[in-house]
Amino acid sequence: MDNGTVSDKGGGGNGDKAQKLALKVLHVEDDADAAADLTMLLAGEGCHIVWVPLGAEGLRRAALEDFDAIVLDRMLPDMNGLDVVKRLRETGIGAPVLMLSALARASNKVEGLEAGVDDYLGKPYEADELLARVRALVRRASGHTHNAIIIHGQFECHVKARTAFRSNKHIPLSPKEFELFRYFMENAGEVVTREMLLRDVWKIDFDPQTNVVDVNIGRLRRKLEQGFDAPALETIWGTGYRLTRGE
Amino acid sequence: MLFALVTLSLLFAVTVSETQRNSQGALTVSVETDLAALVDVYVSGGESELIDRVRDRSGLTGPEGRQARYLLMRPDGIVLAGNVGSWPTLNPQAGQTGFVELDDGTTVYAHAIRLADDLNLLVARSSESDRVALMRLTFIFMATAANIILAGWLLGRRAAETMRERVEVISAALRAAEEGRETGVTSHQPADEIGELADLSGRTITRAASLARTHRHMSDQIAHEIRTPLTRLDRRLVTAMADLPRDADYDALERCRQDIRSVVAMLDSLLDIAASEGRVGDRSGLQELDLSALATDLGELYEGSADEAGITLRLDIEPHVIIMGERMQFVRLISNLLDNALKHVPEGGQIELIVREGPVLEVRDNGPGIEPELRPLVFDRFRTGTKSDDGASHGLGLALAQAIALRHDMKIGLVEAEKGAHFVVKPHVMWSTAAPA
Repeated sequence: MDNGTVSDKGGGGNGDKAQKLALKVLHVEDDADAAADLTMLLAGEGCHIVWVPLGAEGLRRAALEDFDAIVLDRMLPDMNGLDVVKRLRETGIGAPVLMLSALARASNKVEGLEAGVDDYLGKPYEADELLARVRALVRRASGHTHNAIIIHGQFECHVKARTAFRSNKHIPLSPKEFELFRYFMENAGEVVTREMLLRDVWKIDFDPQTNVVDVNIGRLRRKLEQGFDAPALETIWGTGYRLTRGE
Repeated sequence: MLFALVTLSLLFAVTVSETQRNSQGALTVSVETDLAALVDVYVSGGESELIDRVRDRSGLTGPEGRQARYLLMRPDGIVLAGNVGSWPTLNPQAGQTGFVELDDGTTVYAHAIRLADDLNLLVARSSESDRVALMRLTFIFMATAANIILAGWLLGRRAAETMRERVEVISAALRAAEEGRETGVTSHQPADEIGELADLSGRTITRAASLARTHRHMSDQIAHEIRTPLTRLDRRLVTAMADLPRDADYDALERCRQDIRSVVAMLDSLLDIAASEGRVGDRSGLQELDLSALATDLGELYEGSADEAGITLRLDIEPHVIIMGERMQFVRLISNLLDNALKHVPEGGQIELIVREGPVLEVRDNGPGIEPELRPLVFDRFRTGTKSDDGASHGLGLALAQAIALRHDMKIGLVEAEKGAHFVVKPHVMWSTAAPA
């Protein structure tokens, strides 16, 4: 294994529970109640929240201060959230943007992503879903992905060779199962929601009526757990899944 | 221009005909007058006097420009006087007249008579000047016709260029509207039929664009104004659940939260249907899409769910079927058809996902099918089946599939099948031979 191509996503044996976020987040939202809910949620995770109710004020604060992430409403009183994100990108502000909007149809999400937002979550949202999205957003922005070999606890993902191992035992996976496994490895220790999996693994921006995600996760789980006692994937009820360390 | 040319041709024909008639009349008069005078000379002065007069007149050209030609000759061929080398093909005994060609190649109008048993006389006038006059007349008419054609071509080209520029303004505006760009028939057009067409097009485009903006704005407003209070309600439920003692029954509140999500999903589906229906015929946003690859991916995604339900999902997909479409909408269409089949097909059943060149997309199953009385209503909103339905569905999946097909210039139909349900999506033109139920 070459230095620099291996990453251990386990974080030095801190267990499987997600760590506190401790981020500085700009929240642009005109609904004071919604803003208070989000502030309470993120503050509970150790984040420092700066709330502004207008798009113009959000642009001004983003230009003056560094933020780890921006949570942006779409229908603001003074301007459209899509215009806000375009202006942010035009002025060279690269902080990852999560659009949190009541406009959450698949077409709305496509518009948002095309405008430059990094992720899009519809209201009403699950608290765990939002936290998972913010974590994934910040992690992606920090560039902790695309290693040749990713290690998390007992699991190894050889990205280029497209092979999976648990405790040095090869786990045969189909191409799509490998993509799922790799996604979990890249988000190891974090909650991965169904919507994230649909969007990033299957490129689908809506939730089909059939339990397709659960079934495909079930198949991957069986392969990862075959011959081992410890579970590989933990179900976070109502939200999604989290890869364990397998120990 | 055609009318002018036809008129000119008719005028030319009439003029030529009249000129030829006048020319022949003048020749006849000239020849007959001269002949009568020479006959008088012969009667009064005898043969020698006639010979002198013929010699005097030979070589003269009349005031009208016609050269006089004579031949006084014995029947045995002895020439007594005149300026014609040999006797032409006219019978003097019969007193024949007509146009003849002389031995020097000149065409003349001539009259031959027998003055005595041993004396024949030919009097003729050349028609060369008449022929030249006719040629000049023809040239004048041809030149006039050429000028008319040239002027017509220049005027036509200018008119066509002007028309093309004016129509292009309208076409550009329609193209811009087709591609979803801001548009308008901005140039000032004269008040004629094209101007009226431009005005009507401009107003229609403006109205369509305004309707599209209003529709979109209304959809966004409705979604926002319904989702926002539902979001607050959901947060209050979460807060209430957090305040409950650990051993409390959370199920009722959790069901309330699920109901909220169900209402939101229904709202989204209705707005998606409205958005797709509002974009029928709109080509903007359509891109080349590999329908085969998309169907294969979705088939693999649904394979596990089918397996778990004890259903065989069979993929029969012709490779590289390319369509112009919106990827996410086709994902939705295929997903809705597969969701619908998986909901109704019992354990042990089979579902087929078929893609063919055309493009043709089919989802066929061997489940209980759709009751005959429901078949005409199957694509209606809020229409749910009576069998195998758990009540969770809003009956919008097939309505949305239909709206998506229409937005792509296609049509979805429920076709006759021996067993189960058989949905087919294909372009309108391909439905001409097989009518859907």
